[in-house]
Amino acid sequence: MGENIREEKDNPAVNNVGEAVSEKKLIEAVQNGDKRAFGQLIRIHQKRLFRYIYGLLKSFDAAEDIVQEAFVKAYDNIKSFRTEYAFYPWLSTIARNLAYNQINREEKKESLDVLQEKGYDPQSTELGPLENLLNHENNKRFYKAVMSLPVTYRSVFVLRHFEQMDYAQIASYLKIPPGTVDSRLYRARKLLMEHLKDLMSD
Amino acid sequence: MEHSYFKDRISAYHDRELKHEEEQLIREHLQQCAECRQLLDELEKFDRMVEKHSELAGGEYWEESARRIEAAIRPEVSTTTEVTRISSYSWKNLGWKLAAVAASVAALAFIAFHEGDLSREIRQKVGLEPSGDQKVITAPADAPITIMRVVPPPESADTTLSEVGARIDVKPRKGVPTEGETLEIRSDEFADGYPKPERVRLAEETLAVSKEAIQQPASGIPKAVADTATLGDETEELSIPDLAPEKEADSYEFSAVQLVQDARLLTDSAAKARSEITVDSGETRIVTQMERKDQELGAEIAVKGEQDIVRLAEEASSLEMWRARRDSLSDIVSQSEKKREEPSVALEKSFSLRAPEASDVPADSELMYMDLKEPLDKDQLKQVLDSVYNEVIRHDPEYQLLEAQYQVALLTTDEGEHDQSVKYLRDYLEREDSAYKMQAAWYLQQLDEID
Repeated sequence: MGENIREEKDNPAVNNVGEAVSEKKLIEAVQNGDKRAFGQLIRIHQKRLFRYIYGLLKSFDAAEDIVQEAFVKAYDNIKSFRTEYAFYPWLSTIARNLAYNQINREEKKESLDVLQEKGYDPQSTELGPLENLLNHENNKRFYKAVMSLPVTYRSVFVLRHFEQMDYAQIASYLKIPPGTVDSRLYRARKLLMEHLKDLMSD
Repeated sequence: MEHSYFKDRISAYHDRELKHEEEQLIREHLQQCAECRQLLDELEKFDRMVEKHSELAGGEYWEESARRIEAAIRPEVSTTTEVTRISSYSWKNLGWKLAAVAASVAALAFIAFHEGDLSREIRQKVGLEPSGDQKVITAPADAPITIMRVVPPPESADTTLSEVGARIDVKPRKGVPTEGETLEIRSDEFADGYPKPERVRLAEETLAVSKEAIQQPASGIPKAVADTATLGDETEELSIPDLAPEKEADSYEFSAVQLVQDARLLTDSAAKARSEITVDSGETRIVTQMERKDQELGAEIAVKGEQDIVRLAEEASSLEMWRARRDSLSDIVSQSEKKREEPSVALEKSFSLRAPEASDVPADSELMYMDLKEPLDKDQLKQVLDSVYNEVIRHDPEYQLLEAQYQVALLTTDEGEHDQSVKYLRDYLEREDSAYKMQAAWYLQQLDEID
């Protein structure tokens, strides 16, 4: 078991520079066998990762499972992670691949009817358990509006706004031409702006 | 140029995704056009709105979730603290051994779950039902099982559970009632020369019996368990079971699926371990076959799903936009063709051989900057090149025009217009100075206009 860095520094600074530094330390601690340090990484990144996967799959249960699986996988492979890179992109790539696997698995096994029952129904805007994680009525409205987008717009929107990817990254992830990213994102935004106009007043 | 063209481009302008000529054009247009200025303003408000309203609350939920994940990476059942470092053992055949272990566990658990289906005779044989003074081992009937860890043994070529020496702690998954016994197979303490405990003997028998049962698919044992059992050294992935449609088995379907997935995780760690060895031996890159597989699969699905969806969603409304874009790009391209001799600024910049520096990367970008202390490996290089390539073509009007022509040809119902776009692509292919002939050829192929 390696030395425990959290002992000396229980509350890592939350400013940006400190975050990057302490994240690197956390990862090195995990690589040296400190499992508790990984607990901190989980707490730092799980919300964002969950929001991302939920946005892609539109299923609370699936997102929950995939987030867990992604962290487990990341933990198992932490030794191969190089600390000069940011942790989150690596983690989210693992999660995205798991999500694609999930979609594939479901599609192979089930008919579309079953997919609907399982919460992949593109028509439904019910948030289910997600409602409990949204304090304000306006946040609920926001998520409902996003989830009512056709999946092709939703995925582009999620990658841009939740994951801050640029168009080229989105294009290469979704394997669509860059110009298509552009037009879909524009239309996704237009749709959302129509629905949520009153939330934009500032 | 059309106002509608500019209006379509404001969103990309707002994201700073336009460069050079086009951005300049938009900027000029913005000065004259109040409507476009207002749109830009709304887009900025929109960003703030998304940021504000996409926040997730629910502190308790997240703490609980974090604990759950921690439990999944850190089995609480066992008192042993450290997972044995696997690299100290002989790795030859380990993947195979792990697969064998996984298979036996899957089979064992499957039988435990389906004990009602099995004849009394078999159940006695594998110890699920008392016969004489045999000890009873049962898993809680409703508890799916997670394989928490495997501690590989000192090297050994044989395949039985005890000689593989794996220890597998089994505990109920989240959300499942925890009452009932924890099924535990501990064989490592008895690996060499020690007497085999009864439970290990039972597990081995179970494996034998289940292998037998697998020969007869009608008995309700999922085929995938059979696949698991016959895994060879090269096999990396276990298939998801096609469960036999037996009614009694329905409620256990998930458990069986889960088990096979867990078995898959085991082979996954074997693959990972192999790659660790590769690193030790001086090679630089760690990409396990599983990872690669994941990536390929992901890409494949993305392509498949998206292609259909793109077609349906775009057809209805985007013809007008592509027409407008085609027309405006035609202007830009024909202008820039006059000064062809000068290489494109974008190209020159993107392909310069200077090593990138931190200042080249936008502050909000997490992804692409790498401090090149070490040479890039093949995958990283490919990633960088892909993104550079995308970056370049995305901003080249010549390329964009090709796409616009293609889209118009695809979407229009006007035969004349279709032919005109196809003609453009054909002519483009013929011209000597065309930069994206491959792309044009591909578009023509998509349009079925090429042999």
